[in-house]
Amino acid sequence: MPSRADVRHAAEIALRAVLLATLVLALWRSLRQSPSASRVIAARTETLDRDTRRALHSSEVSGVDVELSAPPTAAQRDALVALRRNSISIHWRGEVPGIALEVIRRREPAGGATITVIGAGSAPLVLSDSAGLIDTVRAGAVSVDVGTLVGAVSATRLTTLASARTPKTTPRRAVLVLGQPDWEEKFVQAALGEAGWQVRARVPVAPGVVVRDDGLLPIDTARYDAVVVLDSSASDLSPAITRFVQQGGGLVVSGGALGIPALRALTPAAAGDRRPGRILLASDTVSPSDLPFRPLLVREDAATLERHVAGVALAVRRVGLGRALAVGYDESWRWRMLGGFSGLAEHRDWWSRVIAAVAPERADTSAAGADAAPRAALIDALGPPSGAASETPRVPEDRLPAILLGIVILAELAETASRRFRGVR
Amino acid sequence: MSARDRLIGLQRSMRLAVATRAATIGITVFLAALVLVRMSGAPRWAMGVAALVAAVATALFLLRLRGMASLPRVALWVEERTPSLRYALVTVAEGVKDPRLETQALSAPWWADASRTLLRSLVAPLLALLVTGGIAVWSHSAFAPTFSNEPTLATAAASMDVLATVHVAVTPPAYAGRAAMSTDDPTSVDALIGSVITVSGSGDARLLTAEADSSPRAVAQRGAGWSVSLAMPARPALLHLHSSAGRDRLIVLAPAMDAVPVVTLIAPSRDTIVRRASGVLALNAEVRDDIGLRDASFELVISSGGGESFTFRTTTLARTVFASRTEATLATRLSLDSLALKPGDLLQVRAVARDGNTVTGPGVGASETRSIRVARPDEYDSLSVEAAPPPDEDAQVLSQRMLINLTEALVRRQRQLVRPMLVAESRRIASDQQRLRKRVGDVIFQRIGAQPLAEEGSEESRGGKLTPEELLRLADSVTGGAGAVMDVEGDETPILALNKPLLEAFNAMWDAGRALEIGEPRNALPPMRVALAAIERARVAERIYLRGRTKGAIVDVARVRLSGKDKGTPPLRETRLPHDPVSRRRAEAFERVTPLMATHPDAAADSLLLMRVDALGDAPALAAALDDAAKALRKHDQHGIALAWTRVRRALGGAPRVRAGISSWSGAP
Amino acid sequence: MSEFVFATAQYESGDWDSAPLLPANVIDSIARYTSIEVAPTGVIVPLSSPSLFRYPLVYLTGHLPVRFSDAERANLRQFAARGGLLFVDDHNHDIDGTFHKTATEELTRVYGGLKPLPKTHPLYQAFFVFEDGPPTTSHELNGWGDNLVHKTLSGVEREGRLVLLFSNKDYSSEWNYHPENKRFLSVDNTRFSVNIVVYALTR
Repeated sequence: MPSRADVRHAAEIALRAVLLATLVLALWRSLRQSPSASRVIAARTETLDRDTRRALHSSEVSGVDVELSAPPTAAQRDALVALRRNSISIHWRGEVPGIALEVIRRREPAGGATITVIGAGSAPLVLSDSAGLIDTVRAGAVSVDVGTLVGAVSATRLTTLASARTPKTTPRRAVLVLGQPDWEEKFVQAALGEAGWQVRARVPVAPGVVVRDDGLLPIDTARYDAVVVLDSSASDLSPAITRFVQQGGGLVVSGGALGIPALRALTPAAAGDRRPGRILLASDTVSPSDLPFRPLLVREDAATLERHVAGVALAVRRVGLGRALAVGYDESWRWRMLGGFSGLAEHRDWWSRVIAAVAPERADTSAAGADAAPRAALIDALGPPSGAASETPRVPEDRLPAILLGIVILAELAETASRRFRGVR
Repeated sequence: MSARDRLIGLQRSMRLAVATRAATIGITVFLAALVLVRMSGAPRWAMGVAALVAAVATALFLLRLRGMASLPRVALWVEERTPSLRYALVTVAEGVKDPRLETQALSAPWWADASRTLLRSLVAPLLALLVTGGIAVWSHSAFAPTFSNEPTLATAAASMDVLATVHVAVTPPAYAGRAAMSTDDPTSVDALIGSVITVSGSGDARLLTAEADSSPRAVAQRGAGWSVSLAMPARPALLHLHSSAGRDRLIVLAPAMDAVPVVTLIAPSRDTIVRRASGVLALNAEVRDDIGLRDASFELVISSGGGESFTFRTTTLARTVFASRTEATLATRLSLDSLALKPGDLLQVRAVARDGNTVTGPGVGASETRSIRVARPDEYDSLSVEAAPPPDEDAQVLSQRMLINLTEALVRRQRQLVRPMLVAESRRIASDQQRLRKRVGDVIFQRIGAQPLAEEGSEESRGGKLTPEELLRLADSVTGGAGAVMDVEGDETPILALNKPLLEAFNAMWDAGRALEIGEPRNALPPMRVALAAIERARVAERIYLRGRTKGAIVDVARVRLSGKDKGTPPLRETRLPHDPVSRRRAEAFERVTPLMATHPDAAADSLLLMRVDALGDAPALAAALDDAAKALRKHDQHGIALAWTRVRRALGGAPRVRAGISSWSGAP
Repeated sequence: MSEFVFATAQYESGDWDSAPLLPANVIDSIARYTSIEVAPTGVIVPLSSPSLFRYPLVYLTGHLPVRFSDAERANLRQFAARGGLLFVDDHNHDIDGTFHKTATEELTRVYGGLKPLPKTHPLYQAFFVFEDGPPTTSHELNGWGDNLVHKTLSGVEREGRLVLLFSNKDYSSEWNYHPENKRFLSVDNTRFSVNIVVYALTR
């Protein structure tokens, strides 16, 4: 009858045999040539990372079928593109809402941003950023104006559907106001200054006597974001203004300045006959429609920004690299002084937005982020979704190498422990 | 020592060595597991698993003790290593007593070899323990939480208690008559200016510093705890408590303003004009204060006079002291006769109240003012007194004075001027004098209803000077006989009395004009001065108002445009720095704080409190939202933090505005 | 372009119309020295009326005590907040007098504390340059009123811009004459009024 020692010794030999066999099997498996049959990996959103890694490391895989329940991240999308470039066909299908998200920092010094959401559909979509919930929207195309934004903005419906980074704010340049000494010139300066724009001005008070800031010239985009011309007193600067706008600067033309011949080539509209406005009384509800008004006759290549009951009030067009905007309202200062408790802020914000509409874009536009429109990005990268699943047989996940490694380790440990406990080295 | 004794000794040594080895290996395994847990960030229960593995390993190695249970086994172990013994030792171990065996068994110094072997067997485990222990110590310092200025365990324990709980007691100022109140761990203290705020906690006061508005405050030891006392300042401030453990606590001091009393004048209820200031006027007022009234009274101001000469009297009536009541009524009756008001006098009445604020001085509140004017007799037939221009005499005084100045200047230059030039200048003054005379004449004849003087050129047809008799005949023919007797001088007719000074001026101007016309400015001066004196007498004698709106002058802008001799020379304007919208500054601060709320909530709470101090003055809604957010952060209330953050965001930038469609402004081409 | 209209404040408590020729004189000066479009006559605007806001520069004077009604006070607060400038002149030229005391009390309630303006204030260089600050009036030199020559004007500024200008120098008397009489003066004593208007229109 074999003794315990014999049994133990036999067991050790058996373990060594198992160990050796496992190693041989692993070696044979790694050296054998796999048949040229095509295999396709079936991937899902939840396992996409793992499946793409499998496909990347497997020579058998000829395709990946992706069933998406949510938009893939930019990294996952890039991985699929990489597979495709390695001659692995990629087919995808599933529910990826066609949502696009855009975040624009408002150019006014007071800051804030506008979030544009397109394709939200009728189901509610939650907008949030790093600071938390912003709002819930439910429309095909909406714009959301917010005072503060922190971090990236995401649109969520159970899962994150789209996200966009918020561009950084950039410092603004000065605004040059040109006009004769009257209340309009004074309060345009005041409104823009209070809104945070740096205002420089030139005001001819008498022949040869000009109230102005130091170093007004030259008028170029390194020093100014926009020039506001309120009347004909700026005629002598028309060539400099034209050059400025062509090079990217912004121009706002209002009141009598709409008739300056040298600026007509720039302005988006000519002014019609002036109509008197309603005298505003102290009231909480005021609209610019009460102001004296010159209906604008808009050029063909210009766009209308605001419309009045009596005609177009604001129009803008591109001129070279810059923009020119025409204002049909006259004596807007009355809105501030006679506009009740809200007129002061409304007048200031309105003028700030007018300048922001023509000020050169200096924000970091590349910060949009590739997840802002995931479906569009997906189609752009991989083509449109496919219908049925691929016919090619699928390869199940290969766990054999891990099993073989486990067998090797356990066998070695057991054999060594047995010998050591026997006292044999 | 016999071989058996040595064997027994060796057996003991072997058991000790095995036990030591097992324990060393067990500790090594445990330390290795500890390092793995730390580095991988595994949860704490993984330490238990590591301890179990170590115990199993120790037990496995302790199993070898079974092999040393019997002496023969030990002897066999020796025999294997010392073949020269030829199993003599085993035989001795089995109890055979034979001197030869004894000698054989002791022939080789096997006990020394065995000891060395045992010691060698301990080297590896001990080395492993040393290495693993070193790694464990290093991992403890690398992966354990660290703090700057980390104190020793003793001081950390002590100073952690210092700011563990902060108690705040608020004692309002005595005049407010309010009870003291207290609270624990507040983020903000709201109290009246001048309230005594006592902040206290337990622990050693030496481990704490306090600062309010960058000024250090003394921290006193009160028994087993510490205490800081200060008065609520007039403006929002921050109390900063800092412990030597590096912990900070911020408390916002939000002063509540003591409002001034609200005073409403009930009677008289409107302004009025009276013919005679007599009788009794009821005065009634209501007074309210948020904390307590001190006193109230009626204030009277009586203005007398006119033109450029006025006198004023101020007096106080019915002063009443209130014993810190919050509402009261003030009433009295004013005898107008006692004020001795004359026609033209103006009495202004208002109620004034003071509160009991002894900290920032009594707050003074005043009601609206009611005016009671005593009409002049010439206003009796008026239904309403409209704004009236100053009498023409004033303008005439000025003009006559100017003409005198011009004439005197011409007289001084007379010697340097040629005759034609002198005459021309003199005639220019003459024509001004004539125009002025015409205006005086208009006043005279207007009052008697006669036709005004004709324009220049036909002056002669009107006649130069009018004698008093001629004037009287003219007046009589117009008025149809003597009218009511008025205030007159002596036995002069009223019309003459009214117009005599003006008539004198009228005639004197005629004389002056004639002298100027012939180029004799020096001779014109005496009558011009007579005219001036006469006009002044006329002005003082009576105040004659013409009915109608304030008479101004219309400027012929086109005629005078840019005719000024001087030119303005304004220097270059200083470019004003752009106004930093406070909203943007606060929004930027909010953007900086937001990432901290997940990683460093206490620091985020402190930052919010700093923002709150800044917002208390002009944005109370924002200040309240910031306080709520700070409290939620301190309590680690995740739901509360999310809600509070939304409130702060909305208080900063307003609620988000959702607009259908894409913004037209951003759609600018 | 809207023309500048000189406005005189009418308030309930006192003799607001004590200098009726001043507006014409100031208008005349503006036309003489500048190219500012200016209305040939001034207007009178009640302080309690919404019409106040049509005239961002308003002149106020008087001899008698000044006591604003609640409506006048509320209007003035809004007037200042929206950028209007109130120019107040003590026609008594008496800092111990009732106009000064009551007016400063009422104005402090509306605007906050008045501060003296330094000689370097932009107002004194807005058009003509007055290196020594506000020009002295003949009434001051003649010992009128409190028999003092006041070296400074006072004011309240909001965001770097004057909203209240207060004078004890009796410009109301100094400028209260028909503009035709300017020719008798060797130096036009109304030039400082041009500074006030130009400052209001360009700052």
